[in-house]
Amino acid sequence: MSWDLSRLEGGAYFIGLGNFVTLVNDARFWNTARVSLIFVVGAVTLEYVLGLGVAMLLNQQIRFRRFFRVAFLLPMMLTPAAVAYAGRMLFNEGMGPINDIIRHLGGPQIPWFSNPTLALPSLMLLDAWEWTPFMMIVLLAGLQSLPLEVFEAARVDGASDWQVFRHITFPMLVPVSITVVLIRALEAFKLFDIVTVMTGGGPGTATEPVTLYAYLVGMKNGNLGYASAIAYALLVMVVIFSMIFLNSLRRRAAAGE
Amino acid sequence: MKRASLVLLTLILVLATGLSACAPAPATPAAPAEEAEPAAPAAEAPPALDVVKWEYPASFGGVTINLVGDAGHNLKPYEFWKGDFEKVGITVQIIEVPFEGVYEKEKTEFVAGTGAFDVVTFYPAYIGDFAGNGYLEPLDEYMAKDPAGAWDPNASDVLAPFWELYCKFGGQVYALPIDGDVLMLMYRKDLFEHPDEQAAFKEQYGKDLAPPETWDDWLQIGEFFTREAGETLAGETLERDFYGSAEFAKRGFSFAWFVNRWAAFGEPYFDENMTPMVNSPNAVKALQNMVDSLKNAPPDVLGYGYDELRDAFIKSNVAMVVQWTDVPKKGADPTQSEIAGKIGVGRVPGWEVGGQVVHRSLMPVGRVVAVAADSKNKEAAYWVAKHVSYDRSLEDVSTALTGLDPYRTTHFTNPQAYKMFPTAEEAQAYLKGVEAAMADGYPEIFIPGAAQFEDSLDLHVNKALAGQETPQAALDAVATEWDETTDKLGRDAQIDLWRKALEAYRTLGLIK
Repeated sequence: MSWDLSRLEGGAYFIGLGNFVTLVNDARFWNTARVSLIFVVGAVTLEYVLGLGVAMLLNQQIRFRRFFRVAFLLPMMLTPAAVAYAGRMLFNEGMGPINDIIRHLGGPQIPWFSNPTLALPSLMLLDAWEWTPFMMIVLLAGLQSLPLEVFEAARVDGASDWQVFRHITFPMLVPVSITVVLIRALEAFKLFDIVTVMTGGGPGTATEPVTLYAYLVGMKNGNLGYASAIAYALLVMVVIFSMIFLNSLRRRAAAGE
Repeated sequence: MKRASLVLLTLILVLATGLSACAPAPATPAAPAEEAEPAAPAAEAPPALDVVKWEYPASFGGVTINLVGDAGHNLKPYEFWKGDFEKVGITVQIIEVPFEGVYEKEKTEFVAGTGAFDVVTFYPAYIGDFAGNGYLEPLDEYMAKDPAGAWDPNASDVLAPFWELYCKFGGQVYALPIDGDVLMLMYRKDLFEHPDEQAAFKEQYGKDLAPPETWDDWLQIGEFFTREAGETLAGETLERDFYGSAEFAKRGFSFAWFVNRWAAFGEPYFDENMTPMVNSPNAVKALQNMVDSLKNAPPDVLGYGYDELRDAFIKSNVAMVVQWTDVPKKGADPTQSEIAGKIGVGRVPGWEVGGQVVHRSLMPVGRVVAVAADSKNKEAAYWVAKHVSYDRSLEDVSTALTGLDPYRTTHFTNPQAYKMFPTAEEAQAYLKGVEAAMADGYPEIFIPGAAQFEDSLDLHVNKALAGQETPQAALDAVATEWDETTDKLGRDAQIDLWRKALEAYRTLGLIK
C-alpha cells in the first residue's frame, strides 16, 4: 500500500510489493543501511570497552566511589537531543572548547563533523558519551555479583591482573555482556536525534542512517508507504544482526571458548 | 595506575563542570520598561516605535493561541509583544520546532487533523502545499474587518514579491509576511580598502582589489585572502588561519548557495513543460564553482549552516560571505560582533552573460504567518498574525535580537530605527544594499512539491560538496528525482501550476 501525503488529492492506492522492489534498487537506502551498521558496531564496541574499563575501576575500593558512580551516570539522564546540542557546542570546529584545548596543546583543528570520513566516528564518540554509563552501570552490577572465592584462589595461585581478567573476570561477565551489548545495539539502530541535530545526515549522505532516511521519505516527502517499507527493512536488519550475534556467541560457547 | 586513572577521571569531571559554568559576556541590561500605552514590551525587547499607527481590537476574552515556528530568535516577537496580546485577552503558547523541521512538523499535524496549532509560521515555499491542500484559512475576510486600524495588515505597504508570492495562492490571501529574506554579499570593508592588500592584489592579479563582481572573482579574491597563522593580513600578523570566503555547505539550505550561482544564467528550475533544467552545462559550471570555492573556506565548512557561517564572518574568520540580510545588523552590534563598523555590503556576484554581468540573489526561506483552517479561535489567531506582520514589524526587523529582514516600504524609509548602526548613513547604506539585493531577487519553487524538489536538490548539491558525486552526476540525479516527483504529483496539474508560477515570477520581475 502506498500512502502518499504529498499528492494534492491525498489518499492511498495499492501497489503490491512495489515499495520493496524500489527499496532493493535504492542506492541511497543501501548507503543508509551501511551507515547504520557501521555506527552500531563502532559505537557499541566503544561503549562496551569504555564501560567495562570504568566499571572495573569503580569496582575497586577507591575513595569517593559512590560520588563517581553517580557522576558518571549524569550523561545518560539527558535526552539525546540535549546531548546533541551540547555536543554541537563542545565539538564546534572553529570555536568549540574541545578543538580549542587541542589547539592550545599544539594539535590540529579537527573537522569532527564536517569531514565525510570523520563525521561518523565523531557521532559514535558523542553517542558513547551518553551511553557508556549504561554499559558501566550494568557491567558494574555484574562485576559485583561475581563470587570472590574464585579471585582469591587465582591470587593464591599467583595469577597476574591480566590473567585474572582474561581467564576469570571476562568469561564470567559474558552473560551480562551479551545482554547489555544486545540492548545497546538495538537502541543504536534507532539512531536519530543526535544525527539530526549534529549533521542532518551530511556531509552528503556520510552520516545518514536508515531511521533518518525513513523519516525524510515519510515526513518530508509524504511517502508513508515507502517509509514503512524502509522501516520494515530496518526491522529485518535488526533481527538478522541479533541472530548473527547470538549464534556466533552460542557457537563459541559450544566450542568451549 | 589506579591513582592515575582516578586523577584523570577527576580532571575530566572538573573540566566538564568548568565548561558548564562558561557563559557569554552579559549583554547590556535593557532599560526598565515603563508603564505605557500600548502595553510595555517584555524585558528584552526592542523599544516600541511610534511609526506605524494601529489600534487594539475588542478583547477576545481570554483565549490561548498555540503558535508554531522555527526555534530561536525569529520567534522572539511573540515574546516581545506578550503584553499587547494579553491586553486583548490572548495568551500565546509558543511551540518551537527545529529550523530544518518546520515542514515535517506542520504537515504531519495538518494531515492528522490534530488542531494542535492556531497560528503557523512557515517558509513561503510551502504555501502551495499548505494552502492547496486546504490546511490554511483564507484571510481576505479578516483583513477587511472594521476598524481598519485593528484588522488591516496594510498589504499595499508590503513589497510586491513578498505579498504576491509569499502570501497568496490561487488569488486568495492565506498568509501575512513577517520576514523578507534575500541573500546579499557582505565583505570586510577594512581589508578591501587596506593599501597593503590593494597593492598586493594588484601585483598578484594585475587588477584592482574590489568586491567580487563575478563568481570567478569570488574564487580569485577568496584565494587571495586565504592565509595561514603567522602571515600578515592588513598589516597585522595573524594569530590563527584566515579564509577568503565561506559557504552554507551543511545539508538543509546549501542548495540556495548553488542557485545563487546558477540563476544568473537566466535558466528557470523547469521549462514550460516541467522538464528540469537543473543539469544544464551552466548549472554544472555553477556547482563546480561552488565546489572549487571550498578550498578558500575554513576546513570545517561542510558543517556550516546559518549560525556557523554568520559567526565565521562576524568573528573575523573569513573575508566575505553571501548571507541573509540580517547578518550585517548583527555584525554592526559590538556585543555580538568583532567586526562592527567594518562590514561592506553589495550585490551577490554573477556571471557575464551577453556582454554584461547578470546578478541573482535567491530569496530563500522568508517567513509568513498564517491561521490554521482547523483553529477554534481564528479571529484571535489572525490578530496575532496581523500584529506581528504589521503593527510591530518595524520594531521586529530593525533589532539585532531577531533574524527578521525588511519586507515593507516602512522598513526602508525609517533608517533611524536601526539603532545598531552608529550613524544614520550606515543604516541607510545597509538598507540600500538590501534594496539592491532585492532588485536581483530570484524566487524559490512556489508550487506544490517545493519541499521535495528542494530537498532533492540540497542532498545532491551537498554530495557534490562532500566529494561523493561529481557536479554533473549530482545534477543529473536531481533532474531524475525532480521528474519522479512531478510524475507522482500529477504532471499535467504540475505543469499548469508551474506555468502560473512562471507568469507570476515574470510579472514581478523576478525572472527576466
